[in-house]
Amino acid sequence: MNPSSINILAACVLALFGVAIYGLLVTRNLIKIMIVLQILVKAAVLGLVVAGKMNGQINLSQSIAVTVIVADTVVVIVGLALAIQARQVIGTLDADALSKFRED
Amino acid sequence: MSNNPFLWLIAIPLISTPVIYLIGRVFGPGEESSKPCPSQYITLAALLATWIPYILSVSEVLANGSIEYSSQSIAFRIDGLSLLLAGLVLALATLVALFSGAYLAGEKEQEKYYALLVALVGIIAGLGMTNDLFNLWVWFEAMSISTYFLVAFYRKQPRSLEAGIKYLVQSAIGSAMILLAIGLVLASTGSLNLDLIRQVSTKSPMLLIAGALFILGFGVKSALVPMHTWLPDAHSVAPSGISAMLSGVIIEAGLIAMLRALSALSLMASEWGIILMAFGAANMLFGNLMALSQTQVKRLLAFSSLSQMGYVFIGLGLGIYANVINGVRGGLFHILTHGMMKGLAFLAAGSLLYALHIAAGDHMPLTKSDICGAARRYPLPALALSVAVLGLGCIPPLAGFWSKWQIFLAGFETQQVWIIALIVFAGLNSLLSFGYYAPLVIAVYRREPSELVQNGHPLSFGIQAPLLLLSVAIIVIGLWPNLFTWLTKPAAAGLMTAFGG
Amino acid sequence: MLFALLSASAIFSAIQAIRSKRLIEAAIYLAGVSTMVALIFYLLGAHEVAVIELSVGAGLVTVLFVFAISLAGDEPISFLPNFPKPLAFIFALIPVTIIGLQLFSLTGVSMPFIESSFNEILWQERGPDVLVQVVLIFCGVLGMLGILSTTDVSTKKKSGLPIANPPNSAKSIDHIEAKENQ
Repeated sequence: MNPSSINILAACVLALFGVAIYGLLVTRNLIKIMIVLQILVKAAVLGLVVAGKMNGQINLSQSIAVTVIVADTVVVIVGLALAIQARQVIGTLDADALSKFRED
Repeated sequence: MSNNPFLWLIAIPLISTPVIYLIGRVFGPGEESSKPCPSQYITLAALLATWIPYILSVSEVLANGSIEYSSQSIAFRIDGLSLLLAGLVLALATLVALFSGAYLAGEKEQEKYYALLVALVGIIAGLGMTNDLFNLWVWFEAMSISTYFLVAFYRKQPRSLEAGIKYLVQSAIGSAMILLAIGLVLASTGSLNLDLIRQVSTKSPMLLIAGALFILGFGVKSALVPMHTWLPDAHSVAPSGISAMLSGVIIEAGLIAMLRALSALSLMASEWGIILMAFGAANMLFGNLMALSQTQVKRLLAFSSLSQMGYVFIGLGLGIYANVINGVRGGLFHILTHGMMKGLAFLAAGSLLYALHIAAGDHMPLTKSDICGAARRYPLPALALSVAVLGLGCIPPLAGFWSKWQIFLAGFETQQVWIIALIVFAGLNSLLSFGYYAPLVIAVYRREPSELVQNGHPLSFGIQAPLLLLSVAIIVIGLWPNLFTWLTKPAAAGLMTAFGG
Repeated sequence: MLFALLSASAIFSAIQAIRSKRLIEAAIYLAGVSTMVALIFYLLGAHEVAVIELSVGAGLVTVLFVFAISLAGDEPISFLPNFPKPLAFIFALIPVTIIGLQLFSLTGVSMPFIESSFNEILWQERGPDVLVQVVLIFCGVLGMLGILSTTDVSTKKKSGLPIANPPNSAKSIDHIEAKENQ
């Protein structure tokens, strides 16, 4: 494993992370927010595996990456359930229309 | 059982979770009935049974110091901090389970509510005990997932859906940041065990970034000020028992998880101390200013949680920065007293909310004008609310005074000018907080009863008993402030050792 | 070089997922990101997690999204962001540059032992993780069932205003049921 490919992959993790943060700031559709969250998690999982690879602990990082993938699938399931429920209750997937109901 | 009582402390709640769900599902009240759900009794029984391993763990830790246990390569350590967190969550969950029976009567999906409430106890107990960075993340994520449904419990109300989605998205961003930080730590140290990381870590910019990401990621859950926006919504629309749990335990659990992760990078302890103090000052001021302009009681209490967490951050921060153990002890003591006082405040506000709105079937928020003169018809909830907010406002014979006093004294102990200035700032903020606590007490006692209060619904014993117990506890701690020293002293000592003090 | 190519296509898919105006396209681009990440895993020697990323990340999650989109409807996304795009760009750039500047100092620590196999680590050494994961899945499923539950009409609501009558509300089955039951 030469250092340059590690650097490329680390840069890829960062780039995905940045893209996801940008996406979270500009997205208003509830389902699309969940899609962007998935990109964020992909970046984190890639980061974990690359980190393990650097120390020759690829199997350790694999087993924690599996846990992360499963946990975040569960988060997406709950998030999509909330989005569908919001669509049924207020009739749109727009996050801003939803926050209009908050009276403060 | 006698060997590892703490395993049962995690296992009893987690094993009883599916049992509670299934029994509630099979023997629950039918579609049209509003009888209480059998899940509540099993929940209470399971939580009371969990007290036995808790007491056994306490006696073992007090006799031998911390307990080390490792399951394969994942290490667990049960020290004072774990016991403090487990005790707080167990106590509040028991009272909330008692409270929720009448509060939720007639709602659907109660069995899921109780099952997740009990799961939360086991999960938070586990969160406090793990000594492995990644295992900490898994417990933390499990804690978040089990609260999403509880926050969005009234799932036909747009406000609670909004709060639930906001909470979910922000928590998920936070946990992704923690994962990134874990990646950085793993890359630079090659280990996940907190003790091993502490031994091999150096003062590198990579680890500084990792620590900053830990603060941001766990800070979402413990409501550091720029990342707090989920909190007022989630706390005000969740069922009141869950508001009490969120405010009394969950944000504190996030803070303790943050401290555990940061303690692995203890070479940079003074940096972490300064960052925590800065966030503490921001939290206090912002929470107080926002709470002053609120008209809804539960939102007001939610913003006051922000400012109360500020005191905890300052206490822990100055303790870690200047190596003053009393600061850490004060911070941990304030976690304990804030959990009780804020739990009581939310339960008391919740009982009034139930009597005035929910029992009549509407989901309007409880406003300050609704509770005018509530003391005439609801003497105990009014008294409990007053005890709670006066304690939060730092009135001397109540519990909240002593924990803040300990933090203030520790600040003067450092003899550094800017820390003393910070303490003076904290004291001024305490005065500012009367600007919103006092009107609540005045409204409850001095004003003429509002129309809503006169037509209010009567309150059952189950709702009032937890209020009485917590009020008595707060007054008793106020009279004997050393009552919990046995718990805060080893917890603070363990934390200071972890931070290299 | 292969890594650079795969990374570039993963980033491209991610940008496309955010730019696309239809949800279903965004979901498919997300599957693209997943596939690229899975290929990178495979080339790094993380074979097991590559398979799981491909089946769960690219397969199951995409199916879930398509299912959710078909339930909620794929309206073209017309709402403009209320957060100004250039500001969002700067916000995303700051952390990336701060971390990126440090990245080139990254050197791994060589560990002095030979690692055990994936199965041993996952099921034995990190067994507690798997147990907590089971709890986590159970809590998530309970939460999902609770949120999507349709038996909702609370028997307590006698006064006839169960919902704060939102404007332009969808004619969902739940609403019709709620009206019938009153």
